Amino acid sequence: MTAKTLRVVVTGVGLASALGVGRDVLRGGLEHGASCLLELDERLARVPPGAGGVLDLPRKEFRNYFDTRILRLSTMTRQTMLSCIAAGDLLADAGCPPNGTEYTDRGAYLGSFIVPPDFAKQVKAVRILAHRPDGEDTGYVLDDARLDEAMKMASAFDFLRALPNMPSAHLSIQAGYQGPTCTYLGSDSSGLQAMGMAVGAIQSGLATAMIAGGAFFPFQEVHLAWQEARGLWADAGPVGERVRPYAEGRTGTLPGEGAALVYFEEREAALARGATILAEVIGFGQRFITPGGSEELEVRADTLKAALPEGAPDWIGALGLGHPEIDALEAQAYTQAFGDSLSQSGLVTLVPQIGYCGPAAGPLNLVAALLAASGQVAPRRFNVSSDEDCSVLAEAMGRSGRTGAGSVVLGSSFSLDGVHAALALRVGG
Amino acid sequence: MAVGSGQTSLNDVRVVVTGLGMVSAAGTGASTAWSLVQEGRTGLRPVQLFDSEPYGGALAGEALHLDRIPGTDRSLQLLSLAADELLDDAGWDVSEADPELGVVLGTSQGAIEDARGIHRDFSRQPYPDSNGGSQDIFERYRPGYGTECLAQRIGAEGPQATVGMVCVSSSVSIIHAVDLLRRGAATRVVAGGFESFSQFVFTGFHCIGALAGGALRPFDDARDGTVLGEGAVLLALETLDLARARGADIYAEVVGGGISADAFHMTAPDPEGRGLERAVRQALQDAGMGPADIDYICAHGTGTVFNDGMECKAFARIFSELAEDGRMPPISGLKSVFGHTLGAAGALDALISVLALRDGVLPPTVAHDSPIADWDFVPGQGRKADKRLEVALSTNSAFGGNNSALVLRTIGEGVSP
Repeated sequence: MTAKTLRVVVTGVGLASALGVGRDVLRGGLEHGASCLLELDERLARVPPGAGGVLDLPRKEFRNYFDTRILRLSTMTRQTMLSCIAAGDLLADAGCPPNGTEYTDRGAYLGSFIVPPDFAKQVKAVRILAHRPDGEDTGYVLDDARLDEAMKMASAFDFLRALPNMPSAHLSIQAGYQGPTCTYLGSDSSGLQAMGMAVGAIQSGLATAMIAGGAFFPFQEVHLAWQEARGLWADAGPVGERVRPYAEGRTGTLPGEGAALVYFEEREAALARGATILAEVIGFGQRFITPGGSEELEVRADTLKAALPEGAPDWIGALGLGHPEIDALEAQAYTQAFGDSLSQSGLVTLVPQIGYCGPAAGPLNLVAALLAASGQVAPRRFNVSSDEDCSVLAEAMGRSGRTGAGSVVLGSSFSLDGVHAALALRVGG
Repeated sequence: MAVGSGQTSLNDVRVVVTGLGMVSAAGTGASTAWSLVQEGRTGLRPVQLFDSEPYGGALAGEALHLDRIPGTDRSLQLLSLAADELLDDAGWDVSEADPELGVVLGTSQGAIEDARGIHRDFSRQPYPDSNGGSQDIFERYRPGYGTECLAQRIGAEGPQATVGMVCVSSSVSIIHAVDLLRRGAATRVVAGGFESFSQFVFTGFHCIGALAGGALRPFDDARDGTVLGEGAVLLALETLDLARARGADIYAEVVGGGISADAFHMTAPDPEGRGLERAVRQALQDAGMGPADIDYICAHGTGTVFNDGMECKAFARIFSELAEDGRMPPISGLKSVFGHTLGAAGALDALISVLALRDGVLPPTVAHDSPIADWDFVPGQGRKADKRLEVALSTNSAFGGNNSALVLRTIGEGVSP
């Protein structure tokens, strides 16, 4: 590892969510304000919340983002596929499309939340075993012995694609990046964690460029049921209006799938290749605290200050779940960390439009804040009927907050499991 | 942590190992495992967890000395026991919460028993009847749950991460932990990994034809596959300054780490081992060392045709000059003792390497009769090294083409506590 002080910059972003793929659709979505949350199909609707944000991209368009002859869809979970789509968008945005070249000094760190293990195919096999000759599917009533029998029907790909390192392994193959590669699993903060660790990898001299961010696919029955048990989902109502971050009448959130990746580069290397520098990394913090304890607020605030010790950011890419307690605690953390200077800040969250994207949420909201700070978009708040309605934030940052461009951006991720991460950027570089 | 300004040389911060914790097929305790290794005995037995006859029968490295506790996921049981030993061995004060204490663990499948139970419930009857109202089980189902449990137990309020990199998970977790310590994000970190033996993973390895028909034979001409194991392996890492200040016993120093990707194929390794070679060279560069400094190699040695062949090709290039002079460092593979513990494998190899350095004993490659290269694979039993063991290289590789390398060395003269 080097002893030099290395500056790390952002030279590209790659996005895939219910809004679509790419920076332009995100910008358009933020400005025009349409919610992309929809009712889910019958199979998933039997488990709450029955709605969410899904990327609607025809399979034939996947080849616009990655080479489907090399990266076969049969070997991918949905979140691996999402990350590959976002990576294709990212590499084009950064001006580094795959060209067959292998790079030993570039790598990929990705945060994901794979459900261990992905039994979907095995469960399907069980149902096949239960299929009666008369054509009636006996569905879900089986004994353990038959489950074992069904598990033995699983194919090699069913197992391999469920391995937790597959999202980042696919990225390394897709981009030809042979440097450090890692998948972080721990929590909903793992996307921002991956970004912070990727910055560290560059500063440590392990790489000159890193793909980093998060990917998430929540639409699996067990996962939805778990979050329901946690009380995370919003009450019933018109789907597009259910998620109301920081609003007084907020009741919870909705799930969304997505991936958000950033291209980090050592600054001198970026300048040398004539890259467009979007921002420079100025700080990173990560902490853990047992959720619900008396010190939780303090640790959350400390995480923010670790990333940005010099006062409030101009724009915050916030979590903004729309959950009664979580939103309140998040707003308090911003207040505790930045005090009165927070009144000059703007805040953006994509959750009301695309759903809560787990490990991808932090990176997605960070990119949205970066676009706002760089004047590329003036996001508006969603599902908040009036300034008064947004009291939890009004205390922290005024009734409306910043609406114009700025310089300093903070992305934060307050995980429900106690892992918190924050990454600070300065626009330009 | 402010980045990009005022940073001192990362290697100015030296990281040492001051505590060990391990549960495996060898039993509970690092010393128990080390004894089994030195004696050249295997902990592999016929599968007990389920009937393996339909698969054609197989061995496994199950921790059979532990009773299965109903309602407690096996992986978490293993992790808890390893943590008991680690805390006792390191002598860390964990009575108060510490924002400079971190936990970075690797796992491949996490709490897989719970996961299977949940999915089985969902396969039996639709939600909400399948829910059973047990949020606890859902919580344990998360891949980061084990890491969080340990962090809560020891008041670790610093950085926390769960690395999901299959067979390199826990070696990468050690490398990340060292980076956190070097960068000042923490002063103490528990690093390692945990994995339980499960029918799901067994089935997967069976599907891809990676399981051995009998014994696991690392680097042997007759090798035909691997044997799965289980375990939890933890290392207490801290800065040398802190260890010296508190008068800790120091096992070894972690002086270098490397991570690489083959970017070659989703499942098959680069047959030439170029990715592993890069990881090793990166680790050596990080350590400020060259191949000639390595006294012992603890290799991945899964016993599969592809992995062991790839590893030997990588080692042949890295150590070519030494090999030509007949000075190739001794190499051993430990999986014929413990089985392949997946998410715990990298930390297991690192832990045994640490003990090898401490005692100056070369760990053997068990079930190794016909070497695939004309090198010393330390067959039979462990033996005293011909010269002082000062530096060990520990390597691992994974499906997806991920590779890692660690360089460990005895603590130098004049820096003992």
